[in-house]
Amino acid sequence: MRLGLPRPRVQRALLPYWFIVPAVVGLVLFSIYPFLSGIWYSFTSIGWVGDDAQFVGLRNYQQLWTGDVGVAKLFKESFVRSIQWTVLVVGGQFLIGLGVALVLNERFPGRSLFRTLTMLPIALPTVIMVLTWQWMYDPYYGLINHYLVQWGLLDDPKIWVGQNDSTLWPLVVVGIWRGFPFMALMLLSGLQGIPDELYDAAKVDGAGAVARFSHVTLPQMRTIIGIAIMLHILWWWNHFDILLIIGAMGQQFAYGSSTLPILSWVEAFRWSHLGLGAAVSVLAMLGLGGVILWNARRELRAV
Amino acid sequence: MDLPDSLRPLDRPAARRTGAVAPLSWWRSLNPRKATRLLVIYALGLVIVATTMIPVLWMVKTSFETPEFLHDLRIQFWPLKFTWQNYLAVLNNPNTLILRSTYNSLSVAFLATVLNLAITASAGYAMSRFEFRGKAVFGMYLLLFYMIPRTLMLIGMFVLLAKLHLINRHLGLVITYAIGGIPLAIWWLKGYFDAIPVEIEEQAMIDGCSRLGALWRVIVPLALPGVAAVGMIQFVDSWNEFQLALTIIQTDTLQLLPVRIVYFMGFQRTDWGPTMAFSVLVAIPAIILFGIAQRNMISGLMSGFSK
Repeated sequence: MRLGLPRPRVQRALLPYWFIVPAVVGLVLFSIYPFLSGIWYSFTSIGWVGDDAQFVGLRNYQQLWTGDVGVAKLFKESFVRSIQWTVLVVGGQFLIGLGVALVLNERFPGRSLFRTLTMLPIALPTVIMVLTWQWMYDPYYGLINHYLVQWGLLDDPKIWVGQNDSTLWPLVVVGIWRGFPFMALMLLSGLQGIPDELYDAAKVDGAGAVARFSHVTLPQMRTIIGIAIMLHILWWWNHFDILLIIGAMGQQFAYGSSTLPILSWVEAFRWSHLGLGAAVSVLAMLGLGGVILWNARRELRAV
Repeated sequence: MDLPDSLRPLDRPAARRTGAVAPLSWWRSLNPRKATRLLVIYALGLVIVATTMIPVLWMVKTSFETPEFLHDLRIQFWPLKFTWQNYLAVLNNPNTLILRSTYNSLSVAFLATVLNLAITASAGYAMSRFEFRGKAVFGMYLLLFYMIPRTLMLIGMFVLLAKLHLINRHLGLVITYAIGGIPLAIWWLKGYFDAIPVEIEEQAMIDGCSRLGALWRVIVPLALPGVAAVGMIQFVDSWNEFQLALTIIQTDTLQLLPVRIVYFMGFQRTDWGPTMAFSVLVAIPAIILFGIAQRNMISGLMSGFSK
C-alpha cells in the first residue's frame, strides 16, 4: 500500500477486504456454489427441483456412454457436432476477423465510420439478429434463396433451416457473422500495439508487404491471437442462442443441429432430467479440458 | 458520437455512393500508387460493412414493408411501399405484451446494472490500489470464471434459486445478471482506476481529507466516465440476454423482451413484417447506448483484452 498515513495497523490491513467482500460473497454464492452443485447433481438422480438428489454414482454417465439409441445416440452425435461447430465457426471468425482488422488498421479518410458500421452489430441482441437470419433463409421469399437462384448457384429455392435433416452449415454462417466483428475488434487492438518503427525498419531492410506481415505482424500478434482464439473457442463451444432459436424453437426440436450445450439444456429443462443434463455439461467441459488447462496455464503466467 | 451519426447506417447506400465518388477529385492529386491503395481499401471496407450491415438493413427494411410487397420477389433495400402498419400491429396486438415486457426488461437490466456497479466499483478500486493476501487468487478466479460452462452453472443456479424461491421472479434474474457481469467489470474498472494517478489521492489526504473522503471527493468524480461506460455495457448485456431469461422466467407477463419476441414469432411463423418491427423496437435501446458509449466501449474492450 503506497498511501502511508499513520492509522491502526489492523484496520489498515482489513481495509482492502471491505472493498472486495461483496464481490467475493456474490461470486461464491452464485457462481462457485452453482458450479460445484451442478457437478454434484450429475452424480445424482435429481430430475426436477424439489426432488431428492440421490447419489447414483456414474449412472447418468453410463446412460450417455453406452448404447447407440436414445440419449446415448444424441450425445455422441452432439459431441461430434460440437467439435464441427466450434472449429468451423471460430476458424471462420478468425480468418475473416484478421482480414477485417488488417483493413481497418490502415489509415484512410472515413476510417472511424467504417469501424463503427463494422462493430455496430456487436451491440444488437443476438435473438433479433437470429430471427432476421431466419427470415433471410426463408424458403419462399428469403433474401438468400433469391440471390443464390438469381446468380445461378442454386436451381430451386431450398429449405435451409428448422428441418429434422437440416445441416449445420447455415447455422455456422450465422455464427461466423455474429462473432467476427468482435474477433476483429480484439485483433485490431493487438495491431495497434505494434510500434511503427518495426515496420519502418523492415521496409528499410527491403521487406515487401507479405514479408512484413509474416515477419513483423504475426510474431508481434502471437499472444493476442492466442487469447482471442481461446476466448472465442470457450464462448462458441458453449454457444446457445443461435442453435436453440433456429434449431429448436419450432414445434419439433431439431436434433439435427444440436450441440452439447443444447442437448444439456433440453435434457435438463425440457425433459426435466437435471442430473442427466448436468452430466452432459460435465462431459462437454471435460471435452474442452485440454484447451481450458492450456489457457489457464497461460493466464496463470500472465497474472 | 451522438445518436444521428450512429443511426446513419439506415441510409447507408446513399452515403456509400457519395463517400466513394466525391473524393475522386481529391484522389487525382495523389500519386497513382496511393490512389490504388485507397481504392483497394475502400473496396474491401465496403465489402466488410456490407457483410455486417446487410442483415441489419434487411431487418429495418422488412419492418416498413406492407405484407403484399413483403411477399414480392423483387428484392430491394428500400421498402417498395413504405408503411407503419407492422409497428402498429405489434403495438396494438395484446398477445405481444410489449409494454409489459419492455417494463420488465428495463427494470431488470437497470437493477442488475446498479447492483453490478455497486459490487464491482469498490472491488475494482481495491484491485487497483491495494496489495493484500489473496489478491492473486481472486484475480485468477475472475479469469477462470469464464471457463465454467454456462449450462452447468445454470443447472446448479436453477436449483439454488428454487430453494431461495427466486424462480419466476425478476430478482432471480437481477442477481444472476449482476453476478455474471462481475469479472469483466472488475477488470475494466481496475484499468480505469489505474489510470488515475495515486498522487491526486495522496494530495487530497495531505490536504486533510480522510481516505474515504478522498475517495468520494476526488476518485469518484474522476472515475465516473469509466463507471458509466462499464454500466452501459452491463445494461446492454442484460438487455440482450436470452438463455437465463428463457429458463428462469416462466410466466408470460413477467417475461423479458428477447424471449417475448421469440414466442411472438412462434405463433405467427410467416408474418415477418411485425416480427421485424418488434426486432427493431428491441434493438433501439441497444443502438442508442452503443452510440453514446461507443468510444468508451471500444477502448474499454480493447484495453481490457490487450492486457
